[in-house]
Amino acid sequence: MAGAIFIPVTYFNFVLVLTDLFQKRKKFLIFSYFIFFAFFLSNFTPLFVNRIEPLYSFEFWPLPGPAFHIFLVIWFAYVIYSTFLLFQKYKLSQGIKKEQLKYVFIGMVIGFAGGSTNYFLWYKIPIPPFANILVSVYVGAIAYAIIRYRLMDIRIIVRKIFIYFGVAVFTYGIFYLVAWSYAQIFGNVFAISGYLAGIFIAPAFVFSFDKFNKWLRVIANKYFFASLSNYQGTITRLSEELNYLTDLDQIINSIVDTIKQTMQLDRAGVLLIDETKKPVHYTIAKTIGFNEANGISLVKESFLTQYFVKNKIPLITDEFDFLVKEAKTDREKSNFLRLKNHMEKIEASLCLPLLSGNKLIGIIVLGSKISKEAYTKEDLELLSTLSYQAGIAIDNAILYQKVSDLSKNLQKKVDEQTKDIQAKAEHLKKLLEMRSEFLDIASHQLRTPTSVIIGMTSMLKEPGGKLDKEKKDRFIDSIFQKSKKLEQIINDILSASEMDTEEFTINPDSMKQVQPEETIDRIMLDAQEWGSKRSISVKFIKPKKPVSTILADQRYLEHTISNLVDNAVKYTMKGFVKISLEEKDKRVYIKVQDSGIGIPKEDIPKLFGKFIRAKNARQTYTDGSGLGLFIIKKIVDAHKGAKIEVDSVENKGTTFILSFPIAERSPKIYAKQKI
Amino acid sequence: MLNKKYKILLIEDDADQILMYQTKFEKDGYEFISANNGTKGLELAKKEKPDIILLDIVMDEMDGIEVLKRIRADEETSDLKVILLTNLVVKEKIDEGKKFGALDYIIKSQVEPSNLVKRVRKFLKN
Repeated sequence: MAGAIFIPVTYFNFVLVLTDLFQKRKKFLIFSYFIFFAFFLSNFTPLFVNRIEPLYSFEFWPLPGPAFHIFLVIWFAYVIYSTFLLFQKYKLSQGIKKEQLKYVFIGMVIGFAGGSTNYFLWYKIPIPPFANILVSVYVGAIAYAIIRYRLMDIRIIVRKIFIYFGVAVFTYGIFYLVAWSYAQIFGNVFAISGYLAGIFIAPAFVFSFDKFNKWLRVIANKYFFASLSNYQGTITRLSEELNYLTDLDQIINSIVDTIKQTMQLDRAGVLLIDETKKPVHYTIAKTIGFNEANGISLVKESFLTQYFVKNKIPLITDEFDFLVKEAKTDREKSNFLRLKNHMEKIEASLCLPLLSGNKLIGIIVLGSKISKEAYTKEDLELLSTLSYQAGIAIDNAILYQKVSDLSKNLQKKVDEQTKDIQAKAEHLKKLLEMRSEFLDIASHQLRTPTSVIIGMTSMLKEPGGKLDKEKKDRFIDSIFQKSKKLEQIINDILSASEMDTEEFTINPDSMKQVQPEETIDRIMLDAQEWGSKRSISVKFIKPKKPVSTILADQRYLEHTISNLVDNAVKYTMKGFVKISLEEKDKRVYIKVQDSGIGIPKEDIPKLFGKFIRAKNARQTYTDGSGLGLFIIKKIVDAHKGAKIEVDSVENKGTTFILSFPIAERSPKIYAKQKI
Repeated sequence: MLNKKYKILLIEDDADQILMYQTKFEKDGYEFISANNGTKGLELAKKEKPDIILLDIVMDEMDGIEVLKRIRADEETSDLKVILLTNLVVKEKIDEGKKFGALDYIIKSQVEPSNLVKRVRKFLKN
């Protein structure tokens, strides 16, 4: 009877734990234990059991004392209340929890119904405890719930009991050993010297107790629960590893290998969500042990994704039967069935969500244990912890990869741009060099006439400096020539810089029908005068019949032809400069031919560039700015259809051929429009 | 009047400038000779051993720096005083001139003939 007294309160305790009400009803539970302990004490008094006598086939049957009646009422009250709580929880629960509670509830109802047949005889009601055997049903039902529905991990309980028992035996053993030794050595357990010895024995005990406790745990883990010790180590090791790994492949390898080895599984794999694909699609990150012929049929399983996004808990093939049963719609049912088929096809028993925060990033797919044992509750807890850490680590690795890809791309772009900038800088440097060379030349060209003009005028002004008339005249002539030179250089520089700033265009309004012959005639006056000074014949060979008009800016056309003629005279030491004009195929050709120094072959291609002077030109005539032909080319380009060509042989002479289309239609068309 | 008539050699390719400087120096009592290119200038330097050479830089065929190098390279002329007289303001040319012992680098447009005479006189007295 002593044991049976505690049945209702322990049952109550069990139910409270099972229904998650333990914390809420803790005080009530403790109070209940006091009550039942009081009954337990009264058990030894006649209050509870009045006397014992044989009854029916039982040799000793207790007869109730006064406390027994109260006890019986309370006994039933607790049983009924606990069973009610259980039923209530059962109704509210879902899934596996509901299954667990169902078996516990059925087991308890049958067990207690059977057990309560014990009480009839107490009141002399002639019903023997025939149904007592049914008590065993509850043991069976709970055992079934434990094994089939992971109600609790029985091995943990066994291990705990082993450890507590072991520690108790150890403590008792030490106590007895000390007591016995004291009796032997000091003759009395409470001898004075015994107290002194205790000072040393107590710390030694405390120290060895801790050691023993740890040792017991190791032993317990090793024999009762081989995987537990591995598990804890595994979690620690893996989480340490995940901390320093940043490479996605390494992380996934580590996760798959660790889980497969620790749990002794036949297969394991990780699928990751491919973010680029909609609807959700998984890519196989790593699998071990799967039959590749079966493929991984889960890669397109959007229902699984939905399930994990919603529930965030592992999915086990064992549970499919009641998931299907509990499905609210036919659609959900068929989804579960299809998922089950998929998992069975690849022989997977367990799917775990890989979550990073609330985001599903993939799944872990696991096969069965090689030992064919079912996954325990503890396995699932471990796997959940692992998959949680794995999820974060994988997500970080993906992010890290993205960032590093980004930074690689960025680096590439930076490199490209650096290269580009370097090329541009190089180009700019060249331009600057050219420009500064130009500035050097230009400033020299400007200073040279200036220095003469200033120098000579200062001398003319000098108070005491009497210059004779002949010198004065020569000075004035020089000053005049240099002033003209200065004007020409300034014009060149201004034109060049104007033409250089943007694409040079001519205002269409200034394009007029021009008669080239008249233009050349005007130039000839100056040219012939200069030529005669240098003993060079400058001739204009007129066409037999007048050529057509061309469309041109009169000012620019004159500048172009006069510059070509000037150049011809400048670079001809002896011989002639010949200008000719002809019309052919609706074009007017103006040729300027000389018998001068010619242009070296290598200088011809860059002849129309800025600041370009042919090598022999620099030696012949130092005053050139290298801008003349650049300006001419710009002017020609600004005339639609106009062309300039050069034909030259070094030391023999040069011919520049300028050609324009003849004017046929409205003048404005011929001004090249700004684009 | 100076006891000794100093001899000035101008190597310069612009006739107007030769006219200007010759007029000025002769008026101030110097003996003035000129050459309108480097080759002639080197010949004159060797032959006449002028007290000072005024040397232009931008010239046809041979530029002033080359002329200076040759003056220094020839034992007979290597000790002659040389002033670069030019309108070219380029740092490398100035540096090169210093390197080959030019006493001064005078920019024509900035120094009127009368001032040039003063600067030349300073070097002659030393």
